[in-house]
Amino acid sequence: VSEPTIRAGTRLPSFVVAAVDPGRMATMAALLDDPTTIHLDRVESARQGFGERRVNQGPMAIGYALEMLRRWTGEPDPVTRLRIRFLDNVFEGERLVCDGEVVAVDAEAGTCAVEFVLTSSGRKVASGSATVRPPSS
Amino acid sequence: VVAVPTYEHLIGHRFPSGEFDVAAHRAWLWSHCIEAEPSFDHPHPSLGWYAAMRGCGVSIVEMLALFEPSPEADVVLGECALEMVEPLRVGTAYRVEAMVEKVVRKQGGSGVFDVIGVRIEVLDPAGALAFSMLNSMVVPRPEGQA
Repeated sequence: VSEPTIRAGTRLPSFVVAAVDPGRMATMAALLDDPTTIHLDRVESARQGFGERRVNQGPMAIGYALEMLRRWTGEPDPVTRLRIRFLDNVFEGERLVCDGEVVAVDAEAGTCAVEFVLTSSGRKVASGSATVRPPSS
Repeated sequence: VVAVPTYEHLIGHRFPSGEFDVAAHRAWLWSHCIEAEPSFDHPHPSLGWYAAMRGCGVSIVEMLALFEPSPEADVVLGECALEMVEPLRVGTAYRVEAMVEKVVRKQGGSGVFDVIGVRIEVLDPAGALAFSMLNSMVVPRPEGQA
């Protein structure tokens, strides 16, 4: 009998953004029609107490976490539920890493529970959990 | 301590519904923004958040105005719970509905605050649920501090 490949404790490959890109923040602001200036302008960011770095939109973390899970499974839509807590800001130029680990497997449902953490330049900026259809092999 | 109005009576309040068209260029741009492989054909699953926020008929500022946030304290998005029922499809217009699901007053180390939970549902043209999320926003109540 072969051991299941996915089990509690299985670590997922990290998803890494080498340097958070302010150009993508600007595109996101346009998509969302978001008037918040700290995503666009360093002077405004400094004036509002964030230092002279633009601030990434918080919900980008949802995308990063889901992207880590997509790459792990190789499937475009492997997640049925995801919960995320936003803990700190992410700034332009920072190295962002999303790490995940399987914490439970539901063989009957064909899903597993994953917990994940996002760190940016070493600071914990978000954490959460997801229900995922894992890779089959 | 100054008494702070409570907002529990707003639980169940429905915002005007709206619509979100999953256009190919939006799918591509959204994926680009979150460092995924851009695609004109297959929206990233996180696009549901975008569809919900842009399609619900009110801006987040208008949504929060109902709860009279203090101009002296920033509202923050504390937590988000997403349910992905079916993948969103390019070229489809989804109806989006939003309502206040929870209002909870809390006392923390930084003082009094309200946790406002707004449920947003994205429905396909047949009316079936495709995506749902609960946004929990933290509204500080500095005037309620001792």
